[in-house]
Amino acid sequence: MTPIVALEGIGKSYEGPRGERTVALTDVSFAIHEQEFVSLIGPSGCGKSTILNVVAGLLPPTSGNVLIAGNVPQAALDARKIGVVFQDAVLLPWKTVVENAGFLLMIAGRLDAAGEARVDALLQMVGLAEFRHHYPHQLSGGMRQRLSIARALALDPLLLLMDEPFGALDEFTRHRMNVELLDIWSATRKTVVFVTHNIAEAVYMSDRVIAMSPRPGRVVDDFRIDLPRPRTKEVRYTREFNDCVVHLQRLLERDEDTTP
Amino acid sequence: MTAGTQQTFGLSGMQALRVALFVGLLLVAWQLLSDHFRMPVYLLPSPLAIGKSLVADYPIYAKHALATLTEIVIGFTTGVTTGVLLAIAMSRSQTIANALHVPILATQAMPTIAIAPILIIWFGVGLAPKVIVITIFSFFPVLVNTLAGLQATGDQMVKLMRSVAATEWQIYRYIRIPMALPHFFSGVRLAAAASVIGAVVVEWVSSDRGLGYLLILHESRLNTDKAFATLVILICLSITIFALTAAAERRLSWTKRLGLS
Repeated sequence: MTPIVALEGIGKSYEGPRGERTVALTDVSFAIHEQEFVSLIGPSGCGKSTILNVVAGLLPPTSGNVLIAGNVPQAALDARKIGVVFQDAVLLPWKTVVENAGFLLMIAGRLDAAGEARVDALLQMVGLAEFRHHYPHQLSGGMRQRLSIARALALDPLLLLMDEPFGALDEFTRHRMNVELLDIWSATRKTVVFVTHNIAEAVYMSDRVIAMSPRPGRVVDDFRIDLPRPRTKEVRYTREFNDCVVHLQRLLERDEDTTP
Repeated sequence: MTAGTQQTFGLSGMQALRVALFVGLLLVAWQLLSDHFRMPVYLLPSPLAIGKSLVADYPIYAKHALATLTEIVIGFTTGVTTGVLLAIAMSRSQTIANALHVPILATQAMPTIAIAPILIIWFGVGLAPKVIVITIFSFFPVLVNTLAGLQATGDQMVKLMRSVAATEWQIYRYIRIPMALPHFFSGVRLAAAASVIGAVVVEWVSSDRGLGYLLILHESRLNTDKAFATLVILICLSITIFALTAAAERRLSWTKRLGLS
């Protein structure tokens, strides 16, 4: 089966203002298959977000090959088949909840009856149906982020890219959002690439965790999480869960020590 | 929310009543004091004397007010348009922004009152020098604020739009322009006030009509009551223009509509 994401030997370097080259990524290879939930984890500067931009087709790599569902990333981009969620919800403050949820579909020219029905269903799913005529400033941080997830899912994307989506939320809200995102994921079974620097979050949510290290950004481990699904809150208190967390923590800490 | 509307000086009925009451009290006090001390009219005319002058010479004031209003409407419109076009150009291209930076600052750094005579030498005492001065006075606040507004759209928002292959026009139409509107209106409000000042300044230097001309004429002849009457009209004109821009802002700007500041 063709993987949804296939990266082969991806390298990315930037030229600075004085001609010096900064290597952001070197030799990154991995594949993500349909319906997989994969987290990219690592400290700041390890190129997690750069990978996301490369996968989204927003940034061409300096070297290597990217294939999205067997095609160039631009094809998926042009088909509006990539859903993106950022750390900030980036909602339009002058549009209501339902208008925000359908906004990207409208831009893509696909806000037809079927699109509107999907928006309604998604608002129901993320628990915002009764707030459909509210404005973003009337929502809490968690609600805003749920809305931005609904907006991305409204595109019915091939792939959902999430760049530290809960990084700006407090610990309790973050955890509630983790549980809710897992529910959403179970219902939609989208392929997800989830960037985070929270190890417990990555382990709790993912089928696989790809650990990265900085300067230059590279993959240090591609770690399968074999915890049973559906995952309850209780899973976080099991020995297996903690083993995974400890393994990743050791890996990333060891890495920290070797970086200058 | 009232906090938002108060900022634009849009008054509710109750507030308007309070303002009218306050101004009325001031006028009564002024009248009583000037009666009591028998102030000569050329020093400080009483409100009644000013009112009499307004009624008696009503057609003259109307004629000059219309002249000034025409200058302001044309100059202000030109200024706002210039400001918006420059802001768009400068937000699109860093090269253009760098090239225009100093010349634009120069238009604000030079003493416009002092160059008004040059403009009159070049363009005569007609409409042209007035429109130019008002434009110079009013484009700058619009430019600065609109530019800030166009740059207020965050990188993530632009990236989100690019992730669904949005066109450059769609990004302007749906994101940058609405995002810039509240900033634009802050500029327009400042420009409205500045354009009235600009009109009076240039009429003062040399003109054969307009409220600024009338003002200096009456002042030089010690017709203080008539000078005050002219001032009253000028103030009313300013407030009207200000109220119109505030009304436009309430209709068009989402921050006002949603009561956000």
